[in-house]
Amino acid sequence: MSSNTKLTKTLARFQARIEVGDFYEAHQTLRTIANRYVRSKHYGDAIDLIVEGVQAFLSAKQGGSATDLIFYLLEVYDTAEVQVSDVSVARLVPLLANLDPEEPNLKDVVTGMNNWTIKFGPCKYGDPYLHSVIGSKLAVGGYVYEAERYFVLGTNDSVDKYVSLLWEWFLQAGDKKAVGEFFARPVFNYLFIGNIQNAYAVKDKFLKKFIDWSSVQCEKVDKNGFEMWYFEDYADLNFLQLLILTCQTKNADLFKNLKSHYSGSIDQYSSQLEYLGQEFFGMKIQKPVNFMQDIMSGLLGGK
Amino acid sequence: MSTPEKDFINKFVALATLQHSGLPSDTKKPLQDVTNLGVALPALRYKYNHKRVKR
Repeated sequence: MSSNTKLTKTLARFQARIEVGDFYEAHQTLRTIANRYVRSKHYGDAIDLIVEGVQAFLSAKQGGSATDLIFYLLEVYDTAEVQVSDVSVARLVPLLANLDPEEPNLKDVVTGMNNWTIKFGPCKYGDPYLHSVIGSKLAVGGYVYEAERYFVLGTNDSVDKYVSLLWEWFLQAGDKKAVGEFFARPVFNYLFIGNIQNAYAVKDKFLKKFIDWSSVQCEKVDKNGFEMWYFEDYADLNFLQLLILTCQTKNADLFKNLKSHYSGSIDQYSSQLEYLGQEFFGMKIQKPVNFMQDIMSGLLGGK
Repeated sequence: MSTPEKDFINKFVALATLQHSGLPSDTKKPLQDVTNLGVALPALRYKYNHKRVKR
């Protein structure tokens, strides 16, 4: 009997148990047989079997068994040293998509998946495509800060999802004056990772929502291909738009000029701006000076 | 264009857009090259309730 026919038979037996509600038996059988495949290094068969098993448990609303098998799948990925590719990532996506966002170990599942892409893929923080799926799931589950982080490191369509999440959050806050606190997040997050394109995308999408919704006093500024909205009552929104342009120029004088014009109203951003100063303008972060240590090392001829 | 901030913005934008040595506006560091996420932003004062979202 070929391994494929065996696999089909095992799956049929497994499905039959699920149908009669014998979840424990089904789970055990599947694990035993998958183990056998792993020990004989038939990783492909083990992976196919486990994936089918997860799907069946998810359809039967057995989240506990499903997530247990997802962890098992990741173990097999690790043992088999499965590399990050369209295929190996795409296999995880429907499993994640069908997972109940209220599943208690949702965060562990996504961390497990992401850690595999870190270990076997080219990106230090994991696979962008997987991030976009993870971000959406975490957002639905209410894990906003975690979702935000994955969206920032996601694909192009993560931008829209990130903006929607922030917008919903802003509406819930019910504090119109706080719009800058929400807008500042994606602007800084994208600038931090050198993604000017997405910083601009967020500027257009988020501010358009705000203008349409609030009938706020504003005016378009359009010069040499750069467009921004001037808000009469929201200096922070003006500052943040100018900040993107300034990072783009990489001109330290403009950066200092911008900061000094808005000094006072941007105190809360001092560590963010210090970081951007270093990244875009080559400005060294100043360490607090310790005079005593300087004198001592001077006396001792050190530097 | 009357307020001091508006004047500043007009002049600043004019000056900043004259620079041709900067980065194009579609600059995007590939995520393979991202080794640092910058500064962790402080949490917002506002709670987010995912159960209130209409889907």
